[in-house]
Amino acid sequence: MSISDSRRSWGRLPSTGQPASKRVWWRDDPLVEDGELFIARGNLRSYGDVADPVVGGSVADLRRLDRFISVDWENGIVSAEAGVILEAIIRLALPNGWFLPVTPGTAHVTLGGAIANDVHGKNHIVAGTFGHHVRALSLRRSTWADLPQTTDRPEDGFGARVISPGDPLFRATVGGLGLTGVIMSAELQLRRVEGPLLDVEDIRFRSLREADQAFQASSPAWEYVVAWVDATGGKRGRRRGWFTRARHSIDPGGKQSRHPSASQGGLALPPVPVSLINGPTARAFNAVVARKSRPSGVQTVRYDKVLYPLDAVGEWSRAYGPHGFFQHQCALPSAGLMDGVEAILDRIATRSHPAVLGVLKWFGEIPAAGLLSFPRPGGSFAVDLPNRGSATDALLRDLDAIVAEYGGRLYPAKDARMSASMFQQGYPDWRDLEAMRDPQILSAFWQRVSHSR
Amino acid sequence: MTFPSNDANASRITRTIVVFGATSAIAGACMRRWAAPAVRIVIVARSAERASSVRGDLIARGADVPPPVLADLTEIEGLESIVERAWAAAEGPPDLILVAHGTLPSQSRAESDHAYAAANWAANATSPLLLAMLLGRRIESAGRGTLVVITSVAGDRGRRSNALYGAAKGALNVFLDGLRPRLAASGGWVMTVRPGFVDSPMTGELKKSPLFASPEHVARSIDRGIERRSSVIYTPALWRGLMTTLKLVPERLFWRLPI
Repeated sequence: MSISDSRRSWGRLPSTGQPASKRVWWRDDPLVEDGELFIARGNLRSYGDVADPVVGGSVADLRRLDRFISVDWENGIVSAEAGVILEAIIRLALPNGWFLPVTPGTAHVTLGGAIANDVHGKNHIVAGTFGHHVRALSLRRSTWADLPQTTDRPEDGFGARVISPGDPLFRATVGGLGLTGVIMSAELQLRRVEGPLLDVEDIRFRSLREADQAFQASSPAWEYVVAWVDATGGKRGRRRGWFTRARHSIDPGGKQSRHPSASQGGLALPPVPVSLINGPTARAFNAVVARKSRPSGVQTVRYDKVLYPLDAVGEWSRAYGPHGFFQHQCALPSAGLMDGVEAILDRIATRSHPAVLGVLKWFGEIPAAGLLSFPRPGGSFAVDLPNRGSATDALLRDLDAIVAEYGGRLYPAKDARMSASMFQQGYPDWRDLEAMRDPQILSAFWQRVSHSR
Repeated sequence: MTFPSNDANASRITRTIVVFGATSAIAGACMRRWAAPAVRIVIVARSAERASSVRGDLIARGADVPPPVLADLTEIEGLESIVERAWAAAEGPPDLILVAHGTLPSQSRAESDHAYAAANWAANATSPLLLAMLLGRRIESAGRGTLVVITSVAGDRGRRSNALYGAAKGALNVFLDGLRPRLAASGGWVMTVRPGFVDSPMTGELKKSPLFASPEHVARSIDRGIERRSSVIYTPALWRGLMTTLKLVPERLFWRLPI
C-alpha cells in the first residue's frame, strides 16, 4: 500500500512533522486554503527544503496532476500536466523515436520539478539545462498585479496563464523553485533518438588532470560526460575514479529492438535503523564504484544503465539511516574547477568525515535559461555526506567557504542548510526573483536564504 | 499547444471498453492500464473539462477515444439514452464495461438534510443499479461482454459512520449477485469490485492512513480479477478476511468499534 512513508525530502533529514498538504487532482482544483502561505511539491526528489513549507504553511501536492495533454510524434513535442514524471515521458516517447533533451540523474522527478529547479544532466555542454527546451508553461498565481506586463499571457482555460520564453516571468520561473507561481503544465521539445541504447565507455583516471584530459578528448563528440571521483583516500594530484562518456547509439539499419523500458526498481531498501554508510563502508562503496564491473572499451547498453544508475535501487537514500545525509553540490567557474575540487576533497579528508560519491560534471557556455539557474561555464562537484551532526555542519561550512573563495555557488535543489549570505553571493539576481514571487508562496528554503516572510 | 489527434489511432480496433464515471480516480487508473493502440475507450462523464483532460491523456497513450459522452448519471430517466449514446460511440458491443461513479456523502448531513440524502441515494444506489440492469440487458442480447462495477467494503455490513453510503453499496452488491448467473448463462460476466479505503478525490476529507490503497493498486486488482473471471474481488486483498471477521462481530460489540 502506498501512503505509509512520511513524505520526507530525499535527504531524509529528520523533519519536524507532517505539513498540511492539499492533493491536486485536476488542473482547476484549488491549491490551498484561503490566505495560507504554501509551496508546491512534486515527487520530493529534492534533497533539502526547496519544497518544504514554512512553519504554519502548507503544501500543494501536484503529484496526481499527471496527465498528458497532447503529443506530437512528428515534431517531438509533448504537452503534459506538471505532475507527470519524466520516466513516464520517456516510456511514451522512446517507442516513437524521441527522448528527453536534458535529464537529471533520476527520472523520478516531475515535469514541474524539473523546470522549477532547471535541472541539468551530463550533456550540459551540448544541450544546456531543462528550461532551454520548454516551449511554454502554464502558471497559476494568486495575483497578476504588480508584475511587469511585457508579453502576452493568455489564459489557459483552467485558471492559469501561458508563459513563454522571452517573458521575464518565464526566466524567473525556470529555476525559480516554485516561487513565482505554481507550474500546472508545460510543453516540452524532445530530441530524436534511434532507440533506447547508448554507447558508453568508462575510462579509469588517477588524477583530476587525467579526468580533465579525458573530458577534453571526449566532448562534444560524446554527448554525455561525467567523472565519478573516489571521495576517500587519495591526495592532491592523485584522485582516482572513472570517467564515463556516452552517446545515443546510431543504428542506421534499424537493428535496435524496442527494449521494454526499465521497470520500477525491483529491489527497494527498507528503512534501516543505523546508517550503513560509515567510514569503512564508504571506502568500500567508493572502491566498488572506482573499480566498476564494466569491461573496458565501448559497450552498448540501455539508456537507464547510464543515465539513471541509482534509480535501479528504489529509495536508495534509506541506506543513510534515520539521520539522513546532506549533499553538497557546487558549481565552480572554469578557471578554478579542478583546483576547487582538490580543495574540497582535501578538506573532507582533513576532517576525516566519511564521504561516498564525488560526482564531477562539466558545464558549457550556453547562457542560463533561468534567473536562478545553477550551472555556469565550468563544472559542478557533488558529494554526499552522511549526517553526523555538528561535525557535518562544520565541514559543510568549510566547503561553502572554499566554494565562495573560488567564485562558485551551491545548488538549491540539493541544499538544506546554506546560509543567506552564501546563497545571495552566489545568486546576485535573487532580488529580481523576489520581486516576482507570488505573495502567497514561500518555501522554507527561500525564507532561510532571503529572509522573506 | 496542439490538440490531441485521434485519427492516427482509429485503425483496426481489437478491444472496446466503455467507462461510466470516467473521471473517478479508480476509473482513471484502470483506463491508463488499458490504453494502447487498437483499444477504443468510450468515456462517459459529467464534466466536459475533466472528460477532455482524461481523453487527452488516453489518446497520448495511444488509445482511440471518441468524443466523450457527456451525461449526468444521476438523472435516472435519461439512463437509457445515455447507454444508447455510449454504444453508438463504441460502434458495437463493448468487450468491457466499467461502472465507477459514486460520491461519499457526509453521514451527519444526510441524517438531517432529506434532499441531500435523497440525491446521494440516487447517485450511489439507484443510478448504478438501474444502469447495471440496462447494461445487463445489452450484454445478454450481445451474448458477450464483461461488466465490472465498483461498490465498496462498506456494503458488507452497515455502520453508523456511513450507513447511507454502505446501504447503497450493499444494495448494489446484492443486485450484482443476482445479475451474475443471468449474464453467465448468456456468455457475459459480472464482477463486483469491493475496495477498502482508496486515496482519491472522493476520500479527500478523510484522514489518510497506511490502510489507504492507491487507485493504481485497485486497477491492478481489477485486471487480475477480470483475467481470473472472479465474481467478487476485495482490494487490497486483506479486506476479504477483514470483512469476513467484521461481519461475525456481535452487534453491541460492533457498535463500539472505532470505525
